Amino acid sequence: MKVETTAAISIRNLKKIYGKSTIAADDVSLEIARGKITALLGPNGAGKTTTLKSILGIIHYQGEISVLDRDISDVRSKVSFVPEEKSFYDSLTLEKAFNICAMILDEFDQEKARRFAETFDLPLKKRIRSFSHGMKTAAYLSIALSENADIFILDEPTWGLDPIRRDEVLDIIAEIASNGKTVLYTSHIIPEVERIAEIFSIMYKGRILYTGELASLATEFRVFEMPSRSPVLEKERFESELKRKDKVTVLSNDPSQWERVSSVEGVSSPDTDLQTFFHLLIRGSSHEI
Amino acid sequence: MRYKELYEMRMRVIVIFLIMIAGLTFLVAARPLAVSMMEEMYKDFDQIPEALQRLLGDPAMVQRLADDSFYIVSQWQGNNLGQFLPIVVLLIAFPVFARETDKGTIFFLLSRINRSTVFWNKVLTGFFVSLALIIVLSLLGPVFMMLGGYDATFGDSFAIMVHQVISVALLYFLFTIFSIVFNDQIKPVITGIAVVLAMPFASLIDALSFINIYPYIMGESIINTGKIDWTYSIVLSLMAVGLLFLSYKLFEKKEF
Repeated sequence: MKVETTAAISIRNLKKIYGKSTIAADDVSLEIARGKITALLGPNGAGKTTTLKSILGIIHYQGEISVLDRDISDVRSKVSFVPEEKSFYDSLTLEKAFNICAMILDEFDQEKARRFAETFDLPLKKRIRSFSHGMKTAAYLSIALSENADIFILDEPTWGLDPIRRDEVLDIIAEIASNGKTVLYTSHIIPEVERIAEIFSIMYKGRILYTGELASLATEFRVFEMPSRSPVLEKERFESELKRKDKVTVLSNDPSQWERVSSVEGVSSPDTDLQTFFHLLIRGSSHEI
Repeated sequence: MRYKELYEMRMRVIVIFLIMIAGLTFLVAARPLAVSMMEEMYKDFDQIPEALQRLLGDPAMVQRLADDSFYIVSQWQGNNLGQFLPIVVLLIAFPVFARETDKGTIFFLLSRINRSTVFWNKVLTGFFVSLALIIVLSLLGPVFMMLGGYDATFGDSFAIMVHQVISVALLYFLFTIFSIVFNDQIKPVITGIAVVLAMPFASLIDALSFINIYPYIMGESIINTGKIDWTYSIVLSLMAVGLLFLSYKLFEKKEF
């Protein structure tokens, strides 16, 4: 199960089948760079959570995964995880929860957790079960982000948070990475990913469709919009095409093609943002690049 | 992690303990009436149906009840505590894993602590708490009698305690399996209750009567002969170890 690598997390040929035929991860290979924020994007059921659970050894899988060049069981104290469902022991007060975490976790900074609780406006003396959904999420994050881990694996960390708390969490995640920690997180909210992620992977139906740096997306790809009857569509072959009513959006990674296409009348070239790229890959004519 | 487990089960254990203590207090308080009540019950013993006779047991018991030590051993360990022991163990064992799975908190543990550490800490904490509870309650029987001014000794208490300790182990590891297998908190309880209720019914069929461990829990052989049933004790102990091993394997394989 171990792969020697310089990446923080290395996944090779991960395969996970639930039951007899539900393929949740289909030959997934992925390297998570050390000290960077990597976002794993994908629609519901893409296999993101399955991939995270496989990394953590919570489920059994086929393939090879190493974390900090070792088996996960050797480095658990170096990994902090926030699951999709942020359920903590709700009969505890937050203060008691921090005390218990300090007892059971090797690398838990209780003072840091208290500071986060203050930042998120969380009462220390109230039972977690009396918290709103957003407060429970913030409480979980206060605990997970206070671990002195090297890798933070966050499954939809901002889901259910109000915009103010969401901004605060994103700032904290960015700060964690600026201190040399590795962050792997999943999200549905693309503007959020654009704001903090350095590397992103798009997952769909159990497969990784694309992995790349966010900063180089606009230089590697170009998006064009044109009427659905444009002659360009017959002459050129694009990486992906997405038809919407009488308009077609296409994706190209061929610079020579960019010149030919942009000179045609009726063709426009909007910014290549992650949102458009994501939609073209998931909903377009081709899922593979 | 053991502290977390103890903290979570503290209320349950306190409530169980207080209820059982209330029962024990009542039993000691009812001591002066016990013999006359039993004599009344056994008055027409020869005329009642055979099934009812079996239920009431040996009429010679009435004479032996005059002895304070026998009274508390037979009516506390051999009756009330014995009858409730499986339920007490079930109440401690069923949430050990099922609650974590049901509420999703298992991810917090399994992502941070290795599976085997989680298993042994959770299972053994609950097991030793169940054990301590039953041992303390067993020994409190004679102690309460002495405090009530009766001439009681520990007598066969220790021998019956051996039966009850082994029964706790067997039942606890069985109920732990239910707690691992099911993903909610209701099914382990229902399955556990079904097992507890099925045991006396099994004894109606001779070939299955060994499944009914109630007579063993209540120290029937000790009360009747004064001896621990070592053969059955060894068999049940081996079964308990087997169930512990099985529960570990099931937890190791389980996906959350």
